[in-house]
Amino acid sequence: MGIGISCFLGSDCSLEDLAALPNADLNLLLVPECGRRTAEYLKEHFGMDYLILDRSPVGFDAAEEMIRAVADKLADRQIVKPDTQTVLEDCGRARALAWYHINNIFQAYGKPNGTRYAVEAPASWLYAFSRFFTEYLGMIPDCLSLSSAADPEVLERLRKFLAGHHMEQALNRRILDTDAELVFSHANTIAQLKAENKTFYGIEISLPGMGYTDIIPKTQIGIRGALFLIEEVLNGLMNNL
Amino acid sequence: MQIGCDPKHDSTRYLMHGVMIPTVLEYLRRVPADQAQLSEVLREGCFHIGCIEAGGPQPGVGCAGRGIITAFEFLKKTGAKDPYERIVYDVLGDVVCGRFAVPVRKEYADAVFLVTSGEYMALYAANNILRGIYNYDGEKDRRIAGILYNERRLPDEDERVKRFARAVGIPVAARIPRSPAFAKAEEANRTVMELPGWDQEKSVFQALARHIDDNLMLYPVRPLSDDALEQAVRVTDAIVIAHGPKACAFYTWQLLTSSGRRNLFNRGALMPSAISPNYRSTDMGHSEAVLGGMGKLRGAVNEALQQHPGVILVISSCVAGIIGDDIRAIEEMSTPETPVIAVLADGDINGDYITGTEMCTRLLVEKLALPDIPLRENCVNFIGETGVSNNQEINYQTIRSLLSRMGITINCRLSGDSTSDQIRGFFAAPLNLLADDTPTGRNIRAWLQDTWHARFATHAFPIGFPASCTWIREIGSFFHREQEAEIIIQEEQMAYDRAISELRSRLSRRKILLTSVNVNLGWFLDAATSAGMTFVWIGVLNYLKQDVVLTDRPSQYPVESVSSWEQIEENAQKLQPDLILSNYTAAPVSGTWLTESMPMTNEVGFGSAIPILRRLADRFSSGKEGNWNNDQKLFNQYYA
Repeated sequence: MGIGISCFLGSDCSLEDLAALPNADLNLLLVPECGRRTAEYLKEHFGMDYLILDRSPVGFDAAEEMIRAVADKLADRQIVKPDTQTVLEDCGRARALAWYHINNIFQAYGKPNGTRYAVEAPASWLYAFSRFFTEYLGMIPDCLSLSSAADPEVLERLRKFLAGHHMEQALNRRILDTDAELVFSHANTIAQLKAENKTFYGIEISLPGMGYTDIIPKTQIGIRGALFLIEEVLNGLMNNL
Repeated sequence: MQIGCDPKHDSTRYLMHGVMIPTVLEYLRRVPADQAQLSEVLREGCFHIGCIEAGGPQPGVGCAGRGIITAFEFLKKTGAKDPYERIVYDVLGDVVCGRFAVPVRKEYADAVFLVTSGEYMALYAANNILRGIYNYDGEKDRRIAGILYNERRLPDEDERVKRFARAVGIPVAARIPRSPAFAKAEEANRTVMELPGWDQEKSVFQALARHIDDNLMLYPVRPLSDDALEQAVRVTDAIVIAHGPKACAFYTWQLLTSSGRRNLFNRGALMPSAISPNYRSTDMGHSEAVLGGMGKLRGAVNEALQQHPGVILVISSCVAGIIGDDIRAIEEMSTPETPVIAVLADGDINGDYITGTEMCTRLLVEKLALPDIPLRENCVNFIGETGVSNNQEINYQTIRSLLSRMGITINCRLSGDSTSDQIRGFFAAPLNLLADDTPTGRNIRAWLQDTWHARFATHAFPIGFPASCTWIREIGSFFHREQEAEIIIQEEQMAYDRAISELRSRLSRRKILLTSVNVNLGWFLDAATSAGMTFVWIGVLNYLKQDVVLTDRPSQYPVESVSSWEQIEENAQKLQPDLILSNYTAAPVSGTWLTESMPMTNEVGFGSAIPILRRLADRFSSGKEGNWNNDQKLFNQYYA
């Protein structure tokens, strides 16, 4: 799209990056709980505009929404008119690849459709993950557990989404009570559930705690993040068959 | 009289119906020795058993061992034991110093029972006690009366305890089954003997009491070294040697271990024989292929014999067969302890995976099983469990649980986890149960019936409620446990009805279009119908035009033999079901319905249909197909 990242605040940024913060054309909030106040401060003191996404960019649909939202925002302000075609094509290819692998599992086992999952995360991630798993993969939330105080707007959006699918009860269940087949959480929650002899596949979505050494950077957001999550889901399902 | 020798002083608690009696040491701390009275510490519990607790210091201070000596001196001085015929000292298992072991000294205990379970650390502690007693008795005295085995229902637990018992030369005097009776007794602050019912548990203790009264045999102390203990309880029972190139053996090794790794890393389920199978290769290379491989094979067998396994199986490969290595000669290397069995499985001549499985099973029975062994009561063999099925362990536990509710145990799992001893005892079981109704299982059954006149139950492990009723009644009748069988059916009926009732509210009036290969799914059709679902059409893929076995009641369901997927599409479009269900899912037919697959290997037992119906109910609740399938057009655009 021809857009650079000046500073990824709170993630591997230098003091120079911080000093150059006000030079960016737009502040993008991936997780409102973590950045809203900072964005408001920067707007007030430096006149910087900011964009809060409808949802954090987990999954292909959310990634595409982010791409279009950022492009539209920058175009509106007549800063630049980003070319979204190439990156959206990349997303299309990634979707195609994902379809191939999901379809292989679906043909043999009828999954991931109908698989029960649990997520423990802050509200923004909870909302983003649950939409991706439910809408895209056709899975069913068994438990959606808030791990920290919620941004009220995001929480409301999450409640509405669940109500629309008659799945509100997932918000009322404790993560340690879940019987979900896939559990997305912190390593310690996964360990606690394993210690109770529950049968499930655990996928870390928090800061690494399993003791695994990551040499190649990985992500669970954006286009590549969607593929990585699907890879983890499919392998998790295979292990529970 | 029972004397508790543990500082926790809870040994006599249930004899005293929950009352914690004052300990000797507490009493002596308060009362001068010349004024101390036995009556202040001696209590009468149930069955007129005299109860005394030696006591000890507070946790973390003092010396509990010294406390026991003080208490014993008081009991001796007051003649506490004189009126009693039998004195039981309840001594803690961790004999950490000489004073803890005081009660097992010769002046106190005439006979010593070791209480243990099959866990390694429990057996380690039992062996430690033997070491302590050895310090008193040496090799000459005989005071060990036996092992009291507290079952914990661990895998292979019976065998571990038996191996330990054999190694130390002490018999298992009683096997106390894991039972809710003990928890019930604890809740009631009673002993099991005082509760109504629980006759099976009570009979264990009654038998033990008779055993003690009837001229109890005593044995010398022979503790094991740490290494020997390790070997005794974790002995490698069977070693399998593949006589062939390493690559061939690796292929099989991968097959064996992949499910073990998957279950361990992702489900936390440890299957030791699948993680680390006792399987090795003679690693035949070019030289052996030209000059013969028997020398290398003998070397491998010699190495295996050093580990004293229960049996060594040598399996030939294609290479061994082609070059003419006659592995039957290797059986001469058998020892009294370790038979060596040759399995001529040259794959190029003798068949495939199934043939190999049958061949191995027959050989194990022929070469190991003792044909004239006396029959054991109330036990069965399992035949033909399908190793590659993920349901194998679940199904095993389900059937095991049903059988144990009728007091029936498992003698040998011929195609499952078994030891060489269990295979030796194969013919001790009066009845055999076919696990999976597969060609392999049926062939083995036919061979056992024809060659060995083995008796089999009529049907394989049952799938679904009606089949489970029939099956359990047959087993119950065979073992004269008809009453227990009916109780099980009643209990299962209640659980089943509850589950169906709950599901009915979520599944009622849902229409299913079912496509299936030609297998019996009557149990599922009936369960789904009970839950309020309707089958609008059932297509049975029947290319070979055989009799349709899908249901016993074809008139009740709209069953039709089909030979192509197109017929299924046409009916789906015409009948507009809520769900298309299939056990060989092809590309989902697009429409307003959900699509779902049926498992090919089902869970056995009364509730086979329930997990499937629950999943369908969840699918209907969510109503989600998943938008991923809309991306097929992108796959066609970029990759097809």
